[in-house]
Amino acid sequence: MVAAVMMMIVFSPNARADVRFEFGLNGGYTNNLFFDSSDVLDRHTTGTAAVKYYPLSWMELNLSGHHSVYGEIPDLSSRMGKIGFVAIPLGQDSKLAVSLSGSYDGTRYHENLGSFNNNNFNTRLALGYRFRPSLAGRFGGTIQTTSYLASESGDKRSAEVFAGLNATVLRNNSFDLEFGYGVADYQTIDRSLKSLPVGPNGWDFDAALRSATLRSIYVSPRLSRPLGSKTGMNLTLLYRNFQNADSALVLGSSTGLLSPWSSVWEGKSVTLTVKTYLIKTLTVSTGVGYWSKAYLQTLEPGGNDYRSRSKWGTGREDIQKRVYLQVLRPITVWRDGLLQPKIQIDYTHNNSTNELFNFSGFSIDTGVSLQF
Amino acid sequence: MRKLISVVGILALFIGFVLPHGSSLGADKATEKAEKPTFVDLDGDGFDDSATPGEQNPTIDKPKSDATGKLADTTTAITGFFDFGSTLTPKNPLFLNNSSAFASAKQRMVCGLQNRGGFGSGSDFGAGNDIGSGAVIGGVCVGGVCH
Repeated sequence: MVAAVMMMIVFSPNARADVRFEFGLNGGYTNNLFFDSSDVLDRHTTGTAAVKYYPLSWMELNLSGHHSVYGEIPDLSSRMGKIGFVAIPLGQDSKLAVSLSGSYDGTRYHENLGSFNNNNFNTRLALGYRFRPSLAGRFGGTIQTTSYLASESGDKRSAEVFAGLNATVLRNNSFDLEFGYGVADYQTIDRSLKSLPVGPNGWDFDAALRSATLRSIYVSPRLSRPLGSKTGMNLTLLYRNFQNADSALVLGSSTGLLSPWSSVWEGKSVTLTVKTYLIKTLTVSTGVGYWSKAYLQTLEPGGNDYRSRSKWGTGREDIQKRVYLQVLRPITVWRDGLLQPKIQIDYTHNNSTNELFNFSGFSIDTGVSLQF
Repeated sequence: MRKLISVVGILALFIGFVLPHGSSLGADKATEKAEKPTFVDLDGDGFDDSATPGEQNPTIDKPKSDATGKLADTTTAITGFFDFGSTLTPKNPLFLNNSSAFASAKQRMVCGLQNRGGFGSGSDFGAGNDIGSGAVIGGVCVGGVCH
């Protein structure tokens, strides 16, 4: 039924249906590719392409992909493909706004890192309502699924709901407050085991996994406002707390470059970002941020004495500071196309309770994108 | 941590209040007050979403980018989250094609198309992400690899 409706939409476009394209090429250098104390230098090149089809004025169907190549560690090179849609069915005159979106993407690495090949599915529904010209509310939910092809140890399924208010206060200050709650199914090491299972090839970590649910809440206030006529800024805070992470013990990832757990943390952050058009023809963005993160405990394959259950689990708490600068030069081409060269630099300093993650990293990237 | 937040917040507010806001410089304030719609910033970049795109981004003679970086295709669209009743722009702008109409609609829903603190993959802060995208996750991408 759903497929039939989609087919009708795709093959019954109205007279204003059109297609947009985007291509990009970026190159960069970093002195710390892995973001850890190994300080591996590398360069990379990434090509991107996207096509977006608009069969109706309220619907976008998109197809995109990128291919990244690394100089010193070619096994890290990857390709990603993505297909998705976004629908915003209600008109501008309505006080109620609705959006529904969904996407599927897959990332594939070279054979030596094939264990990190993964597929992702995301879907999202959001509602917004304008109470007054200066006050709007929103409510939404999203479901995300990540599946690793080689092992289920990093698989996650999460469902989140969020609600927010956006209000204009004191003339031109915008205050935005957002709350969220999420649950995620994941695979954790069974701490009740007296010893890890042994398989034909040694320790069988996968056999020690059991399903568990992680619950998370967050609150994030944000203040944004103009600074003069050509500059805007925002100050954003976040506090995120896991409700039941004390017993969580995930399989070997925090030290893995492509860890499925590297973005799963609780803690707090504050960031200040500024965008300005003060320099003629250029769009300049810069930001500085501070994070205090606590990660899930991990059991790292290799090097540990797994016979001792007391040694199961490595904790990690980080204090991270980052600053970045990006400069864009938008150039209008043809009737409605855009050519956009860019250069960006990024510096990160990280202190961690896990010595492996005491590091500093610097990267510089340059590239160009074409949209038409 | 608290000291840092306090200092940064106070500094930002001070600078913001000291500097005059955009078009009030040299303008007829009485006329402006009668015509100007409420300041609204839903995407968090500090610019008025209900201003005309040309006012928002003078570096190019085009409308402001939407959440994905693609440009809207009309200079007369009301680009707030909803129709905020601007007296400066037509209420129902005409679009030449579906992508233009969709870009305008998408900008109205930017708050709903992303949330700031979920289990996300963590790359919402840094170059390549618009400044209002949440900026709270703290990841970084190098080429195709994100931390």
